[in-house]
Amino acid sequence: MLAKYRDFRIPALVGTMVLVSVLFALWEAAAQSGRVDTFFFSSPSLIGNDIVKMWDKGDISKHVTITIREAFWGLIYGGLLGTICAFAFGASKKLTNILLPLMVGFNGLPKLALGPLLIFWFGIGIESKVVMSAVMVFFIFLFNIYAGYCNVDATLVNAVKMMGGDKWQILRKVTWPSCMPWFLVSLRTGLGMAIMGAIVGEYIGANKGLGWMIQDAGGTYNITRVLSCIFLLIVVMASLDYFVKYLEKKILRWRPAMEQ
Amino acid sequence: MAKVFNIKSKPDERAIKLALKNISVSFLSTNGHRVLAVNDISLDVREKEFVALIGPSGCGKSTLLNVMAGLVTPESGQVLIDGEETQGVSRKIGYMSQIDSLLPWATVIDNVALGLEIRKVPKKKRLAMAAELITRTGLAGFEYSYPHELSGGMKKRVTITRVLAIDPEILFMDEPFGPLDAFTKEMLQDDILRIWDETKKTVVYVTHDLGEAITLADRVVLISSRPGEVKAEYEINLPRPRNVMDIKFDHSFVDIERTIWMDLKEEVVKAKEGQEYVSKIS
Repeated sequence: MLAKYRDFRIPALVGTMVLVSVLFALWEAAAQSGRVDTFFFSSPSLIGNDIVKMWDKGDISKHVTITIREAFWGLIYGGLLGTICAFAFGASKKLTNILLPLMVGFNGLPKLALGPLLIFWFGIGIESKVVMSAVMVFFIFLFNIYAGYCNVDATLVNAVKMMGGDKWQILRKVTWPSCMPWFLVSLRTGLGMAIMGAIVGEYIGANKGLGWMIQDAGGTYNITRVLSCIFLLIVVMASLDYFVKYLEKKILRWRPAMEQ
Repeated sequence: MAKVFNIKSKPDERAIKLALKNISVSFLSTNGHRVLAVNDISLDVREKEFVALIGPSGCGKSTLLNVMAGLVTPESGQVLIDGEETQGVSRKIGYMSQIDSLLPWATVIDNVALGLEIRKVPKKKRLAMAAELITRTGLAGFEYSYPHELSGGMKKRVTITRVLAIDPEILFMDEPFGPLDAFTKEMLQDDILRIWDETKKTVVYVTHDLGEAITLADRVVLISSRPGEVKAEYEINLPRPRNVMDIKFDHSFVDIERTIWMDLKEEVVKAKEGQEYVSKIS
């Protein structure tokens, strides 16, 4: 290869898009030639038209916003509660010994099983989805950040103690920043969980949201609509993840760059 | 010959800054045995004195330093600073540990200002103080670097600067330059000598490097192998100001080193046998 081109790299995003386009083209070709039944598998052009139609009718903004709002509040409540609990566990050995086995037990429970209860307690409105989402997010934050708390470098704690730092200063100067990477990992995983919680909540009982749309379309064998919703979900997830990744890069500047 | 160094030439009239009275420390090993780490150590450190604690590894010298610093509570005995018994950590003390203890998420200037921040010095003032110290210790230009971007020697220099920022009366250093290469070590030792000459702080310096102890200290205290006891003390009457490169070739330096080394060797051998014994029974 010419030396001039050796350093030329295709950006990863372009690579992803090329791959997706190729797959879509194959799918479309198969659908057009009749080798694939569009009733069962739909086709990219049908999905594209459907998305445009939903956009025009205002379905996208309405339902996607609802789902994102549910996931957002779920993430906030679950994340906040999980973080606070993780720090409480870190600070008190006694509390950990009593509550941690319970938490592990609850985490092992499929959250889906809570669905009917949550609908019963919080209704079919946004609240039950927020709670479902929060429950799923809570455990991720709890376990991750608790692990981070247990990994705080005692040398740093001692250094701050030796300078006369009190408990609050140790928390602010050492414990919190060293839990930061764990917090960001939780945020990234939690984001997916929050959306999942919202969708699952909508499956069980709702009258709006992406999850409800998927459920509703599935019930009427509208495969194109199901796939459009899935496509929208993927786009939402990928862009949110991208944002958190960017945040991570900004916040964790102090860490040596990871070797590939 | 050894006795010459063991006898104090004249009574010291400087006030006692730090006193250890019959300190004993023991801890439980992982297999449940009670291990006596420090056995009945008494030691006086005078104002503006530079004392080096030396001994074989595992002799409890770091434990002893942690007791002085208030990080470890002794089983028995007292620690007195300026004649008063201390409880926990004292604000008169600056402590530099063996392991790197810079906050990895804070820049050099924030690390240096950390102690001041904890003491609630207003932000503007503490940053100005930190910036001035950074220039004085030759770290100018690295104010906004993160620790991982610095070399081992520079990190140590930042750590020293951070301790100096809080202007402690007593400075504890626990094998601060252990893992560094010889050349960097000598440069930092020169820094320490210069800083000590300028500030005349009371220093307790733990090391297992005999040459380093003699180069820096007024007095070398030899701690025996476990359980740690004071085996001997040696006055180092080499003239000051000292220079790390030149002092090594001084005749009396070599004499002192030989004398202490004879005693130290005994303890190192004992410590090694002890370790073998421990590995046999466990």
